[in-house]
Amino acid sequence: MQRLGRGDNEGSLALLRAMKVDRPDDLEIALFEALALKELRRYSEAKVALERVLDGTPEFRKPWTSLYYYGWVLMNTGDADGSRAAFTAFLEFEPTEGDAYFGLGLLDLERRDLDGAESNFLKAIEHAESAIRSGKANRAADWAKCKARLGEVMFERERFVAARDLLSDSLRLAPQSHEAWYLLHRVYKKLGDAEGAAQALARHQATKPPGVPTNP
Amino acid sequence: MNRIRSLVAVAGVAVATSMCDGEATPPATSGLFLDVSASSGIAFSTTSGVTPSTQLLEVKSGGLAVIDYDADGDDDVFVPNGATLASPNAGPGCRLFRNDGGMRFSDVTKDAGLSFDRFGMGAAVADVDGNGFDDLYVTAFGKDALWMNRGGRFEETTEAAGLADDAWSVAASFGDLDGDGDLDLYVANYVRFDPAQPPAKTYFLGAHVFGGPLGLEGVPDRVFENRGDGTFRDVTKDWGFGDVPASFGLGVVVLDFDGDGKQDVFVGNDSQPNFLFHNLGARRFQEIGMSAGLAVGEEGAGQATMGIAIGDVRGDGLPSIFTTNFMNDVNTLHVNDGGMQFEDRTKRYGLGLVSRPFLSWATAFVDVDLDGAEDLVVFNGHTYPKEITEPRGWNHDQLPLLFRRVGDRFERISSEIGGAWLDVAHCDRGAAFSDLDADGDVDIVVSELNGPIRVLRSEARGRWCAVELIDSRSPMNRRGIGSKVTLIDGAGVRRTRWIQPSGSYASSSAPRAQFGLPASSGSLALEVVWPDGSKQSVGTVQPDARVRIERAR
Repeated sequence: MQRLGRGDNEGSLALLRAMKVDRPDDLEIALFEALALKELRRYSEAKVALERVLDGTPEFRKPWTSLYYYGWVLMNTGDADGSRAAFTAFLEFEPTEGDAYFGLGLLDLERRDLDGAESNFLKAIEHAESAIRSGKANRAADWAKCKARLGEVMFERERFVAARDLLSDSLRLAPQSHEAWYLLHRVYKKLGDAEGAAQALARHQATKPPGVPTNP
Repeated sequence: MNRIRSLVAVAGVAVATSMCDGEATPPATSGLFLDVSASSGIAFSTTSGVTPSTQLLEVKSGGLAVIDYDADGDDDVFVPNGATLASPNAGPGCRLFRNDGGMRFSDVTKDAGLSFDRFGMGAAVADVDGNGFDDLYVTAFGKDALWMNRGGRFEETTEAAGLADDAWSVAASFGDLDGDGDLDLYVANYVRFDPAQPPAKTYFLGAHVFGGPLGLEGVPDRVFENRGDGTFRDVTKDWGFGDVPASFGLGVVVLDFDGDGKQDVFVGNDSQPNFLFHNLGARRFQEIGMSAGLAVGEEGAGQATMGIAIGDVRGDGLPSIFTTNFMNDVNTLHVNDGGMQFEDRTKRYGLGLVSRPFLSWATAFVDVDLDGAEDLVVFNGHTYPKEITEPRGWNHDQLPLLFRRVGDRFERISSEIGGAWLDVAHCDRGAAFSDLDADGDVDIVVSELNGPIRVLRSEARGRWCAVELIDSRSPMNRRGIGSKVTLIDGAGVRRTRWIQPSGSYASSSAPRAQFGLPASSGSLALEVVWPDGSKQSVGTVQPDARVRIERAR
């Protein structure tokens, strides 16, 4: 768990798989294995591990967290409806977990339900702000990504000023977001602001893209 | 938790059922396409190295082409075919299958004088000398080949024609880049690669896999001006195509993307930003991919572009661009907003998330159900061998994807509507699209990596109109490659297609505008914009027929 927290996903996975040899039926190990695989973008394998947990009778605390991860894994394996069902089921247990609303918002964007997406991103922002206020968790990164996605909703609604403001807010907190800079570039183009577009593009090109799925 | 998992599973099942309950009506028990490979006479498997693949070179081959080589009005099938690492210049050789009618083909490779046995990748087709017979340009690892068609017999003239591109090229596209009436050639080159010294193995999502293309050196694309006498001149630098970094080109389409009467070039690069070369006139081109919004996907990063499809997705007569990409990424639809501005509208049209597990190659917009709206076909298959993909749940062999256009969305349709072929996974690469049996719908020839060629016959029923062009003013571009054809029905609805055979991965489709027609279409009229931008209107045209439009003098 500590390795996972540090982002050492490969190391965690190796350790968890070694542990699994002695404890093949341990569903907590399966959950952590799934978590490491998800972080490594090995979604199909993560899905199998999570389904072991979901099909079993986990005895660890808050077993429904596996539904949350299942939602993300299904999204990344192209199963939009399964992902929606998983997030929705998870929220019955954890109605204040903003990131599940964020996931639902992404799914709404995919099916062009802009009202749904806006509503879910706003809920996600609200829960992130609440968590930040209470000092329970550092949800600043979540807040930034939700603001950026809300900016995308505004872009889709052709409300470009609102989109610009939301993306600018997001980028103040998370200036390394390659994707948000690119969307801001597109927003400035729509606003006819060539200088803003050029600056946003320059920032986009100065940031490193996340792991791009390509031939290695 | 079991109960919850059941709920999630039920949600998935409900989707599949609702897809079958959509508006589409299966035309016959066989679905929209029927695999007729067994009776087609094309009993041929491609070669591209060995299975399992051991190097990057072995996984990129597999393009094919339809070509009316004997000018008898129906489309024949050419398979360039690959080779092996052990004998890259002495493979089992290409094949040409003559269309005998009724979806029957016979091997006429020898009779036609074709004997290409290098490591072929793909093909482009055009009548480059205006003799009335379509010629073949074959892309390859190593020297490409130009096969001039001398009336149904081919002769290789690569060296004499000045087309000795000896880099690893995959895709090529013909178009009149300088507006002089003949067809120039853009060759998309891939990477510098030595099979004897392949790049070191690397890791991809935890799997130890063969290396490349990242870490390899890109090879500059090459552009050749048609001199009009059967020879070509390398104009890559002179015309501005050399002003870009050497990249990993896998796809190319020459087309007038901004409707200014000058042919532009879109190049799909693997793992790098794509190029859009804007034709400024006077033989000058400027790369504007990033400012045009075409270089990258909405995540702002270059994608692994393989195949390219062109379609009028918004019904406004502007060519939008759909590109196929790697797994864990989405295939991308860039909608043309006019004025050389494109927006990534993948999600808006419902094409994003559904494509994430697939590694996609050949593709085309085709009106598969003849309802008037262009649907979308995508063929898929992994690059890494089964030993690597299967334990990780990635699928080496992958299902094809068929999306039906419903309103302003594309919806994946099931085998119940589309046909059993949609339930059979393959490791596909190239595909060419053509109405092979001249019954008004578009059939498909598909090429699988180290597997048999498949022939998918369209079973669609409905009204249709197919348009072929004859540019008698520019006999060196007899078929009007690069033209835009708009069919206007009685209700004033305009449907646009482009005459450009290239795009579908390493493949060449028929140079024909194929339209399905809703029952309520009424009288039909045509509008043609020829490659130089000149317009021609044609009064009433008959439905359910192949119409030949000759350019007005």
